[in-house]
Amino acid sequence: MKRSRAVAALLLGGVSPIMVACCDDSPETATVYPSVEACAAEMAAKDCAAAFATASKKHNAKAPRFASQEACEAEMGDLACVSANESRESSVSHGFVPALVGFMIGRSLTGIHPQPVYFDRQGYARSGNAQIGRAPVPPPRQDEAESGLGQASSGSGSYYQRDQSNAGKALTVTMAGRNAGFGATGSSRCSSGG
Amino acid sequence: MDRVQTSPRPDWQAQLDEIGFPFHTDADGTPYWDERAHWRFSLAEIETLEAAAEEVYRLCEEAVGHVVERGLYEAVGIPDWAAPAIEASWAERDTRDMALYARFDFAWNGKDGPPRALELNAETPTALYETAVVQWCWLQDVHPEADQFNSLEEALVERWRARARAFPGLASHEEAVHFACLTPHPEDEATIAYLQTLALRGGMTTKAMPIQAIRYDDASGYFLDDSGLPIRHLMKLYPWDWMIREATGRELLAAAEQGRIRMIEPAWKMVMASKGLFALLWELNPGHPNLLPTALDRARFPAGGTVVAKPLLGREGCNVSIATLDAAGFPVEQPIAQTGGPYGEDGWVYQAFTPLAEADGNYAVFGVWMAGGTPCGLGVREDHSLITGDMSRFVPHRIARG
Repeated sequence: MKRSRAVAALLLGGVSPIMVACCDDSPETATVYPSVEACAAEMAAKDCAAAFATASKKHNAKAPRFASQEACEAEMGDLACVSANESRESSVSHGFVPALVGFMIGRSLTGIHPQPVYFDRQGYARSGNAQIGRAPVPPPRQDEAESGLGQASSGSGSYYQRDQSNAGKALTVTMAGRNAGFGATGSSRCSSGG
Repeated sequence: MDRVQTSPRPDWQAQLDEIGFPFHTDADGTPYWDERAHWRFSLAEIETLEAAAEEVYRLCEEAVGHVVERGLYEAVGIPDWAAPAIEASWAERDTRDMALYARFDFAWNGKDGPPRALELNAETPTALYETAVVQWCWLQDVHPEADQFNSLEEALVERWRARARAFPGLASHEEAVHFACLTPHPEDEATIAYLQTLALRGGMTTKAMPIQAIRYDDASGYFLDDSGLPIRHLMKLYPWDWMIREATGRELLAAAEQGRIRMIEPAWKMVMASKGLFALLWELNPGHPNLLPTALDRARFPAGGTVVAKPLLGREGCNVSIATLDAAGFPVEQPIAQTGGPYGEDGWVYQAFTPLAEADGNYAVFGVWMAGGTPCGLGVREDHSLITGDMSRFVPHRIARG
């Protein structure tokens, strides 16, 4: 008849209002953690481990996939790619993907939202197919420029690699885009509802 | 219909806290949720309200079409530059830019004629959780044998399911729906969490975020969330007419027009949410039994008539006044009632006064909820004043056994 029958299911879980700190200035930068350990220096270790697991899973699902290592490196940088087998724990070949170099933790009303991060040749931080930010310094293309043909020596060419001196440390990237400016009106009015 | 006085449940505050509604008491200690009484309706009365809501919503859709086809945006207080996004979304209103919800306010005392629609809150209707959940729990506790006009929750879940069917990317979880509201704002945050819960039950991947944290990428034309990922579907508990005037309002309109972002509610709801729509409704349907004489020009009312003036883009009963007008449309005496507030610069709409249901010095407005075009619930707001505002009390209802 008129009665709602489904509402009871919701009540089992309840809806708890979530209080969050004000965020008048949304973050212009985000932190990329190259490892669970680097993350654990700032947050609870179990949250970091869970965030890493989620980010890896997302990376395997969403990262661009290339047929060959050459094709992948052309886009992502020398030695920046791994066989998708390594990341998929599968014996079947799935081509090549950019190596996961770390994870970023987005915070929102409903908790933390880990995102996988890799860097492309230009030094853009990427996640899935989306460009999410820019690292603070230009990519080290020095050796490639010197050698002229992109025949970079080991450990160069890709923007962020495990064997660089900053390996293991959290890295700050500048978030893509600019603050959209929404919410300004509401702060000065009596209510947004009607 | 009648207003039945009842003893509140002894532990009602704790019970409301427990179901996620700690907003039951206003800052001054007066109850916002008020179960010292409830409204009792016959089934026939409920069906009358339901039929009126269905009918007036259909007229509202026709009126939006009238505005869009003729470009009458000025008459409803919307800038011309919003038109392309409104028109693009209107063209897809049945497929990909469908409405989620809305709430009518009806005046009706059950005696003097049929229910009259006062307005339609087509964009950011308040009192969702009170209607869908809190009064339903009250019914279970106090009148478990009784019925209530309340299938709001499952109707909204079904709207989300329909959205998942319309967007394969949502069904496959490739895309998410982002939920945004102003923070800190505990009530809105609770409402957005509830809407998010319903979308989750509709099978969607969801993410909630402060509306202030939304970013815009000029290079791609995408709006980004706080992880830097594109927002493809945005449920905002924040009015369109504010957003379009904020820093990236034009960019938002362009992204919506070109389908880079799907907004909930869609851009055409701007037209439906305008109080000016009711002037057009009366012009298109003069004498309709569920409408009141409404005009943008107060000289259109007969001398001696009592008229309510509301801001075209007002909210929550702000800047409303009720007065008797002379032939030129000027108030004869001091207003019968009025409220303050920040609105009015975008113009006014005038509506003939009609009596509200009244009992024990309480005036009641009947909020009929719509999921898409279907009426699906009722929430009653009461006030000692003739103007229902954000301090009005929410009072539960039940349907009397026939």
